[in-house]
Amino acid sequence: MSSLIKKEIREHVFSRKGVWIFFAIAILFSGLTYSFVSVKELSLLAQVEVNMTFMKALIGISILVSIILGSTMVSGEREQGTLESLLLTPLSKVEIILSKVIGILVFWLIISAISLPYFYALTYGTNMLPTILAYLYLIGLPLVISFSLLSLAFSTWISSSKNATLLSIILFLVTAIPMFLSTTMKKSGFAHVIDLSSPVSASMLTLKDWLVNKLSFLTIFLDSLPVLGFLVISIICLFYASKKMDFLGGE
Amino acid sequence: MLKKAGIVLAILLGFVITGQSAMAMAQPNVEVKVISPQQVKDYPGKETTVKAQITNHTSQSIKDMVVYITMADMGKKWTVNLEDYSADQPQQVKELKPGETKEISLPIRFVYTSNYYLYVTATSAHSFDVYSSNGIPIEIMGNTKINPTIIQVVSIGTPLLILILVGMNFRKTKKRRIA
Repeated sequence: MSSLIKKEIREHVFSRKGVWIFFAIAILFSGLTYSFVSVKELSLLAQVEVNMTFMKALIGISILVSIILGSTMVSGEREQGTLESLLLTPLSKVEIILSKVIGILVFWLIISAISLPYFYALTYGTNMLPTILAYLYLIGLPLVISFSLLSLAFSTWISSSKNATLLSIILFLVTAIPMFLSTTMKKSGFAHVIDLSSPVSASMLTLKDWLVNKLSFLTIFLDSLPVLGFLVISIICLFYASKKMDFLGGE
Repeated sequence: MLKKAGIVLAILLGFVITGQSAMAMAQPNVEVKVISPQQVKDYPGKETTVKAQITNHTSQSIKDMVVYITMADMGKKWTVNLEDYSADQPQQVKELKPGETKEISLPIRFVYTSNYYLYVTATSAHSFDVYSSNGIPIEIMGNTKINPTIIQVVSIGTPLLILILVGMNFRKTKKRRIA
């Protein structure tokens, strides 16, 4: 299994495509961070708001990158005709999927490592950095991994990489709808239902309650429940999807 | 004599009428008053609840009223987008009976550094009249400790470091291919 994990990391993390993605993400982070001191409007923001904005951007980018990565992992193997050889190895289907999950996890850990100097610069002079890191790895990580697991499940169910990516992005956009709506719109109708159940909304509420409102551990835990629920659902979906991972014409 | 008395009476009547209208101008039909806070001087992120009192001085009840916060940024000389301050939700008063006073609580979170005038406005769906309280001064002081030099170093240094790693990766791959 370790050789498969190494292969996944080599193919996705240390490949030419992988390092260019890291470079592009660093450029994006730099642009955003620099705008906090150069754009007049943004420079008037409270330091906690600055960090919240950066965290939102980091989580959004991480989810998008990891779902694109996850949704092409199994269907990509199928399209390239390498899935058969993978299934013929002594590894179980769950082990194959698990090695792919570890590949995504390593990819995200590198993205989070890239964000560390930016967080250091943005939290400079305050004691926010430990809270930011705790949020990133306790809430951000489960959220990003949940989306990756679901996109990996789509990739297993749907034979086309394009369709799996499209479906994953649609799912992300639906759950992210409340972020684009005003407070009034979020209080009624379909938007209200999504706002209540969306793991993305829950993660943003947790961020606000933790960083700004400084609420109790229990409130923060209750805020983050949809994120944890989403993680459980994603694990179950991926577990069932891994059983469907088969040869093109069936066994 | 009668003519003189008539003129005096007319002048006195004039005073009474003018005085009444001056009184009417001094006391509006609906009075809006900010009870607390009287002023705010704090850092960005400060959350507070503005308590306002709304009184109906007319002899008729006023229905379907909305009461909301308004803010003017006196530093930048423009109005603010209250959604940024989580204060875009008005409070509704279904009915304000003659002489009745109601207390309204409006939450707000100050985000940007500047000097503001905050006031509470009330209006009814059945009238075009708008009533506002006096403004209270809000001073939100900048407390950011972000060091622009560190930001510049990180913003340039991090992508540069990754670019070096990309270059090293290319070299390594090229060497492997040649070998």
